[in-house]
Amino acid sequence: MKTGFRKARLNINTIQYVGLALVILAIAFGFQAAFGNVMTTANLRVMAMNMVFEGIMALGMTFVIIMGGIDLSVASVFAFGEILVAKLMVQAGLPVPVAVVLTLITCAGIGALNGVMIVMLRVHPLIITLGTLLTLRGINLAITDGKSISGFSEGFLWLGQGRIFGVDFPIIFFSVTALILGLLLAHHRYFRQLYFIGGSERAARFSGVNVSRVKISIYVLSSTLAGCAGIMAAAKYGAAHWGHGNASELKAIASVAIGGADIMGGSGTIFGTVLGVIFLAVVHNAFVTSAVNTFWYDVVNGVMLLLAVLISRFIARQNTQKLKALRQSKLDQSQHYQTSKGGKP
Amino acid sequence: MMKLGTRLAAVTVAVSTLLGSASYAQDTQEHYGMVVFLKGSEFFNWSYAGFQDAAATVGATTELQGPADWDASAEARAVDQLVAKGVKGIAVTAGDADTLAGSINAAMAAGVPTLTFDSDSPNSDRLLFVGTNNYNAGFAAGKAIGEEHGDEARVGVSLIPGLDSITSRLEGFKAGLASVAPGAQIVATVNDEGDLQKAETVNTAMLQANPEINVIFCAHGNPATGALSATRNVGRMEGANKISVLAWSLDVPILQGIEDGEYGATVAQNPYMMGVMSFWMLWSAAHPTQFDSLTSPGMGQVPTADLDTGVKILRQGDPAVQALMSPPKI
Amino acid sequence: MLKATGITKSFHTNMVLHGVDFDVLPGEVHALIGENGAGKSTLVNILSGNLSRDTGTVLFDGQEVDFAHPLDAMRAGVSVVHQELSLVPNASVAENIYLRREKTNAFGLNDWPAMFKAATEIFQRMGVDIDPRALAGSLSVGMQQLVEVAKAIALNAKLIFMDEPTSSLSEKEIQELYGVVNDLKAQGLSIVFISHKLTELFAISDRITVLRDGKLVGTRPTKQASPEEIISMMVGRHLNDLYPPRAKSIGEVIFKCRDLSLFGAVKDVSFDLRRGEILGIAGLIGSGRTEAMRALINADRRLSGTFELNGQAVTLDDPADAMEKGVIYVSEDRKSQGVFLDYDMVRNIGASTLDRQSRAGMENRKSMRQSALKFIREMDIRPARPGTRVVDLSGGNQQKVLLAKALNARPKVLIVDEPTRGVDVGAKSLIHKQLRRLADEGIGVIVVSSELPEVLGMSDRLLVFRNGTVASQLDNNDGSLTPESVMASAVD
Repeated sequence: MKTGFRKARLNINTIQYVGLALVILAIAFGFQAAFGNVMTTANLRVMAMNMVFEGIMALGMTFVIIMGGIDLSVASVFAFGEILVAKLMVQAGLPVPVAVVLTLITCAGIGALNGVMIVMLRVHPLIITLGTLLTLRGINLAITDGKSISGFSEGFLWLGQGRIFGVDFPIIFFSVTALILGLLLAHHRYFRQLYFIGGSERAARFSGVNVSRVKISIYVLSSTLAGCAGIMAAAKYGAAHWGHGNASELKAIASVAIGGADIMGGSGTIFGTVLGVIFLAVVHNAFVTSAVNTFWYDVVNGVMLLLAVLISRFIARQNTQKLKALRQSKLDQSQHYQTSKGGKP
Repeated sequence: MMKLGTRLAAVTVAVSTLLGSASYAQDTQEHYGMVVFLKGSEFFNWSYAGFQDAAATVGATTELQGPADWDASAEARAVDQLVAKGVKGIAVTAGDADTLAGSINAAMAAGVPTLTFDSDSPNSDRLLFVGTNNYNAGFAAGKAIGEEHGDEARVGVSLIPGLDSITSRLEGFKAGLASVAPGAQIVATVNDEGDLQKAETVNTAMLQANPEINVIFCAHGNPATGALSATRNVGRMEGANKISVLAWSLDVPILQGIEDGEYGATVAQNPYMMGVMSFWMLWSAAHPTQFDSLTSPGMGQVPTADLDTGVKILRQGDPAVQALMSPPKI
Repeated sequence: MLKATGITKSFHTNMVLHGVDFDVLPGEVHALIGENGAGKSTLVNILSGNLSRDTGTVLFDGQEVDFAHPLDAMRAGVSVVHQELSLVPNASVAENIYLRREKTNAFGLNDWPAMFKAATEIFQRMGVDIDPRALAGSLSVGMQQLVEVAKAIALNAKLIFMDEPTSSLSEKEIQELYGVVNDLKAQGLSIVFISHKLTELFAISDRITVLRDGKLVGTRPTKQASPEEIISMMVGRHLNDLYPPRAKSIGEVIFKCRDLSLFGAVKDVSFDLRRGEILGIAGLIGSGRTEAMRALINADRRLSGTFELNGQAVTLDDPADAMEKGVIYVSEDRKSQGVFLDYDMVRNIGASTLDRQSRAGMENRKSMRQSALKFIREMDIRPARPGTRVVDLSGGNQQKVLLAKALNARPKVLIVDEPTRGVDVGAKSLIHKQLRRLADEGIGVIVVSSELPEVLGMSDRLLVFRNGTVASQLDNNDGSLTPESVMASAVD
């Protein structure tokens, strides 16, 4: 007992991150060597912009998944954010800051609604947020008649197209948000609670965690981030349209899972998610660069997702196996006991 | 774990190398991109086939990008990506006109000739639009009805009001009909909301209220099946009183219906030609001659007006029907 | 330290604690023991604020207290180390200890060095060496248990309940835990040790309190008590003569089980089952009795095991295969492993015979209804309408449906696990009669139960499980077996 435990074992997550980073580099350099045109500034920028909105959603999704939930509604909150901010500016004539703030508040409200329903109805978040996804998509379609809204002010467009030191604002937003959220998730007591909720909700409750409040707040965070992404997307494309960001919830979830989070909750980091986002961006880019039939893109995404889930199941299985092995060794011991004592009556 | 990571990396490198050796030829060839929404749909497969075939005649290569759904923002990203990749030209069908404007403008600004086909983005800086001119197509349809039914034609129209493209088609239809059969009349128009079931309901109601109708003109792709069901509902799908349904679609079920004599005719656009012409326009823009383009200096000459790829009115027995029923492989 | 008087608690109409008195002295290790269902857990849950009591008073540190939430209890200094571990594997040891009471720095972020230091101090106090930086998931189960104790100490607990803390520890780790318990005791903490391992209680406790059927049987200073006395306190009740008569004649062996093992749960279990007899299987929770039965039909993948049915070797590849060959296991967990709550009785009873009772792949509702009606009559299931959904039946009638479903599959060997759990007296006796009738008809019947009177009353022969093995085989054809002798084999 006095030996060995000082040596912290190599963290399984670290290995997963290193592996993922190696795969990303291998793809990027492999395709650079084969086709060129990968490591150019223009391509890197396009690559980043390609996943940046899903990436922002994935940040919020990381929090949700760590606490054992899931939020499918982000895709339609994203489009709703686009449409609402567009309507407030173009049709209601509100100034940009007011429209943005109102939109974010509304999106936060949708998250709160998700959270409250999940907590109150005790229905699996998959079902609740699927309901929100479909309902909101219908609303998006209905309030726009399926048409797009455009005609934004230059000031608003900056949110999607502006650059600081040559870097697009959404990318900066993603990076800064990832940094702050990553820091908070790793070190702030409020967000550390997520791991406890995801690990065992019952135990967390016994330890005094206000599970309901934390859950609701995290769905608010997720929706608000999706709203942020929507606002910036409207600015990036110069138009708001219900079809934007279709199926982005799946990419966000895939990023989180590929980044090593257990989809059943209790593990995951922002760093892992950022790696997952980069992975998807690089893979997609590789398909364009190589001009391979892009139908295969979804196949690769899917396979990677399955692989990620497989790995996390593998780890979980190993843990239970360890526990069983321990009991087995006890069983073997007690067997000796009995035989040495000659058995009881 | 480590082993898994290493293996993955090894596989990736191997795959990359394979792809790399396969792509040697590309360096010397010109490469063009096509961006569509609903990737995988038959209509755009026809377009891409035309694009590809035209490119092959000058030894150029092509690729098809875009989402398999209606997400126009994914199209915009695909355009950005092709620009970054350095293609010689891009043909894009705009899933949403406004959403694509930014990316099209950026592509043009980067010196990559970019045009729209089938669905336009009129406020963008695109070179030109290649596709069906709605007025002309409507005119052809109206003329065909006028020639077939003469002054006896009593037409009901199934449409979605308020859409520019459909309004133009209807204008053209009226003019075409009047040009050969001044006595023909448009009796009623109904709003099918682009929905099959709705189309059946409103068309049935229209036929009951206006028994004199002998032609239904479907001004867009969706309602044809619903309109046909409506004629069955009022017992006029066959026989002497048969109502002739004019569809606006290339879908295989509709073409089969033409072959079987269920529909009177269909207005066939020419997506293959859209692809062919798109390529030639891009190729022309990418190869400046002694006079630059009038609208886009630095690029080769292309028409300053939109290019109409025309329509054909297909009836039973037309050999084109059979040809269109076997979609291209891409 | 703690003095509880007259604690009662009922769930619905079921009274589980009848005016229990319980007290803990400062610096004492107090053992709490009792059979399964004696009310130990309920009592602990009430004293730690996890459940509310119906009546009774609790004095803690001289103050009357009524903890509404585990948090209140923790704040007052009462902590529970639960049997199932509640650590988060992906958080560090220190973080697990200081959850909700994190030390933070000026930025409001966690001050990890301070937490690591404080955790190290606690471990020093306990006399163990665990790295507070390590992820909790990387520790052995025993270590995790010690982290749980550290968590309680960090809360300044004065009283710690340990609920079967040794159930998944190795012998070495158990000794380590004893060391920690003694250290803490020397520092003036009180510990309530819940276990049903007698040797353990005699090794570590100062006093022993025995509960039975929700009542206090008595409290004895450990030094003055003997294991025999404690056992008789645990079981001391009279068997009533509600049980059907025993086997009239016992015939040849119809089922043989040899060397049945399940990784981590069951080791080398062998037994014979004879025509006409009911074989009882007893043992405490965690002794491997249910696990062995599940391994028998390969519901959990067994390591080894060979079987003979009526002299023929059979393989029993999976539950469906076992059912086809006539070996049927009726689960203890009725709701999640037994009946389809939302389906009616016809479907439930017919579920095991869909192959036999379907016509060209379609459910043959008529024939299923026929057999359902037959069982409803035989077993007196009420209401006697075959279309009633099972969820709408009482517990006893649900159990009868479960039994009917098994019988409908025409078993040769029927294994029933906890056949009367949550069932009222009338239904219980009816189920017992049915089981005896089946045995008389020549079906091999195995009854697994944690209710000692039930196994004793029903069985002609008894296997007692302990630590995943058969500790003893006892003959009971004359009904002379005493609970004491069974309990003596069941406990370490």
